[in-house]
Order: sequence, then C-alpha cells, then structure tokens
Amino acid sequence: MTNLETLMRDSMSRRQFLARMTAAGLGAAATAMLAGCGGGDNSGPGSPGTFPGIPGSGDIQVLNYALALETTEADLYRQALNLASSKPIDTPLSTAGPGAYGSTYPGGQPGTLSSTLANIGYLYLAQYAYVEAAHRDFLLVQLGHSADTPGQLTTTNATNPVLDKNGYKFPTASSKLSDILTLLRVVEETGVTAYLGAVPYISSLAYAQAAASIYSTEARHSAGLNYVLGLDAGPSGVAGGKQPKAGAVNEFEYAQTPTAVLHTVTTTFYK
Amino acid sequence: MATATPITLYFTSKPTGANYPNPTIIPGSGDVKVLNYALALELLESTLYNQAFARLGNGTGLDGNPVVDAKGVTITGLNVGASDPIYKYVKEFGVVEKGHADFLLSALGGNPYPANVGFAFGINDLTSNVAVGKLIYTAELAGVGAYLGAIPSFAPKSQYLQIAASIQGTEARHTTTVGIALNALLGSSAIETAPMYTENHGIDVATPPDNVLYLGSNGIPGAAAVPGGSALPGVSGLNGFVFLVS
Repeated sequence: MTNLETLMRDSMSRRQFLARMTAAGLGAAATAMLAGCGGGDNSGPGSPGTFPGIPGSGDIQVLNYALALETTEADLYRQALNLASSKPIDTPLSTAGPGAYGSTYPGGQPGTLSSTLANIGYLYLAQYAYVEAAHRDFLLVQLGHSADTPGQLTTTNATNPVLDKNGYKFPTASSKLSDILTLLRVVEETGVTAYLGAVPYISSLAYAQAAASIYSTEARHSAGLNYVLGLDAGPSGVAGGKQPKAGAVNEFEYAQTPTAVLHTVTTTFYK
Repeated sequence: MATATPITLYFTSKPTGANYPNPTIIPGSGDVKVLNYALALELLESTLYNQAFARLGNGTGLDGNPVVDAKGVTITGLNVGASDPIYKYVKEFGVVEKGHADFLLSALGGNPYPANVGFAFGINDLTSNVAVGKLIYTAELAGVGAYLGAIPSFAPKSQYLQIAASIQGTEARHTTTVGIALNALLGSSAIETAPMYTENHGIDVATPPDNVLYLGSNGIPGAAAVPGGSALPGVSGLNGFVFLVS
C-alpha cells in the first residue's frame, strides 16, 4: 500500500497517522494496515508476478484480481454509506440509487469537515458507492458471471469467484464523516496503485484498456476525497510507492504489485 | 519533421471524405506513434495551462515570460489573485503537464513530433476564472479519454503502457479537482467529477485518436465540433485550437 509504505518508512508520518487514527477510534485498524505493508514486493514491471488466492491464469487472473479489489471496495463503500447515513451496517444499497440517501449530509457528525465539505463528501460517498458496485458488476459481466444489465446493481454476489465468504470489515466504529472518508481515501488510493501495478501483467490491450478505464475513475475518486479532506489532489509524494517513471511527486501515479496489495487487503478488510 | 512550410491544422468543419487527421501527420509506428500522439496531447495541455496561467495572472507564463499564442496574440492578465482556486490549480497542474511533455520529448529522443508546435485557444476571450477553468476541465477530460483510446495502439505489454497509464491517472485527478473547484465557485454540482454508476458502468470512456485530434483542432475537445465557436456552456468567443507544425 503506497501511502502506508510511506508511513512504514517515515516514523514521523507513522506516528501522526497512528495518532490521528487512534483519535478517530481506528487504532487497531491502522496498526493492521501498517502491518499489512510488510509484504515486501520488489518485483518490477515484467517480472513474474503472483496473485495469491486469485483464481485463473493469464488475463483472466488479472481480471479476477480487479474483481477482488472492486468487490472489496464496493462492500466497504456500502458499509461506509450505512455508517454515514445512520443505517444498520449490513443494509443493502438502496435500489433507488444514490439519490435515496439525500443530497446533504444527514448524520450530524462531520468530524473535521465544514458543513459545506461534509455535504460534498457525503454526496461523493453515495455516488462512489454505486460506482464501485457498478465496477464490480462490470467485471462480473466481463468474466461471464452475470448478464449485462447496465445501471442495475447486482444484488447477490453468489457467482462471484473472489467474494470473501466471511465478508468484509470496515475497520472503524467511528461514525464521523471525516473518519469514514479518510479510510475510504486509503482504499481508493490503494486501488489506483493496484491497477497500475497490474498493467504489466495484462496481455490483451482490450483488457488493459478496460482496466485503465476503471483505474482512472479510482484516481478521480481519490482526487475527490482528497479535496474534501483538504489534501493535495495527488498523487502524493510516497516514498515507498514506485512510479513507473521517476518524476515529481505528483507527476506520475504510483504502482504496487499484486502481492503487496492482496496482502494488505486481505489482512485489513477481510473478516 | 523537416517540413519547411508550417502546416496549419485548423479546420472550421471536418473535412468530408478525409480520413482525418491525415495519418501521416503523426509519424512513426507502434509505440513511437503512440508516444508522438501523447506528446501532441501533452504539448497542447501544457501550452493551454501556460496561457491559462498568464490569463488568470498578470500575462506572464509559468516561466515568468510574456505569453504569445500561435496566432500571435499576446495574452493579457485578469489578475484574479493568488488565492483564486482555479489560478492555484492551473499553476500546480501546469507544472505537471509540462513534466509530462518533457518526459515524452526525452523518451522520443532527438526526433519528436511535433518538433515545433503552437496552439491558440482564444483565451483572451475568456473573461473569468470560471470560463478559463471550464476550458481546462474540458481539455483534461479529453486527455483522460484520449489516453484510454490510445491503449489499443500500443504494442502488447509495451514498457510504455504503464507509464502512459501513470500519466493518464493524473489527468483524471486534474479533471476531478478542477471540476470540484468550478462547482464550488458556481455553487452547484452540475459539473460531473467522475462517471456516475449509470454511465458506462461507472468507468471512463475511451476516445479514439482520430476523434481527439479532430476535436482538438476544431472547437473544444470532447464536445461536438462547432465551427469557429465553442460548444462548451459558459464559454463564448472561443475560436478553437490552432495546431501549427513546422
């Protein structure tokens, strides 16, 4: 995890991160996420990669990897939206779309956010929750696991080959919107590095194009959450992340290899 | 290119019957052709940012020098102030886009296309931070689709594919950030900051190179071409892009 690797290697950042997350009631999750960064993945583009626990081979395995990421993200967003809108955590997404959650933040616990930013952040939370579900469903369709029903969210993941059978944990009990979005920001930024790190393993240019089309929406979501949280648009300077071409901190996106991403995701977000 | 006479790629309507753009305009094949294409995009963007920076500021570009566009028009400054959000992002992202162009120039070695290129955006016709921001937003959005549309032209497992994607991700961030800033200025959420779940499965849309180059040369990229004008709401008097190669 690129951001987290920075925290691993930069003691000041690590202390600040842990302090902030602990203050937000996220201490255990933060520790787990940092521990998950020890995956040590130094394989560069083009070297043999592994996707531990991901079924299939070749491009299908890469798509299943993407599906695992999107399935995780979609479920974390669903839980986050429930938290922010004071619904039971396991409530399914409304079939009425993001508009069903209202256009302003109803929760009354904005945390560090101004009311304006809380409203924007809540709007994005609802919108992105459906987008991540749509990404998951898009990949399910591409992999032949469900029929193509654009705009219709898959209500069951029964055919999803990479679904974590024990479910996913949104590692915070905090209902503060700023805490919720801070965690989702890490999820999105991780998604960006995960896709970029998977590019060298894709043979089909058509699949590469599809993956990149998802990837850039993750980058947009990251920028959106960064804005709400008062952070630079990014990509931020990350000592542990690897730019495919070294440049200024915000000049090229950062990549992580699948092994490191999967280690972090499974240890942090899988029940 | 060693062509002595400048070629002006500036059309007021799409040439009928032509395979536009002339495929020979972007030289090379395989990865080189794609890199040349990417360079054209990045030069357009970095030039646009430089002119936008001059327009929002005091008429000087990111390097502190006066800015003249490809039509010979000297950019005049609106002096919106350093705290203006569009000014701030134009300044920040303009440096990034120049970095992308410099990288591609370097990657292409000593014979890049276009070797000598200029653009005019009619930016003096834009009289507010919002109008300039909308042009930036539209150009960045076009960049997001343009890179995606170029992917099938790479050699499979090209070493440049990941680098191109790493650039494209930043274009996506720029699009979103400028879009949010515009919405904040307008007190609205009308400008989309990312695809909605009902649109194309919530993923970005690829634009084929021919479409990008056509739109980039005529009006605003990403919008339907409007001869001599702009299809972008809120932007008027825009004369389209002028793309000069010599």
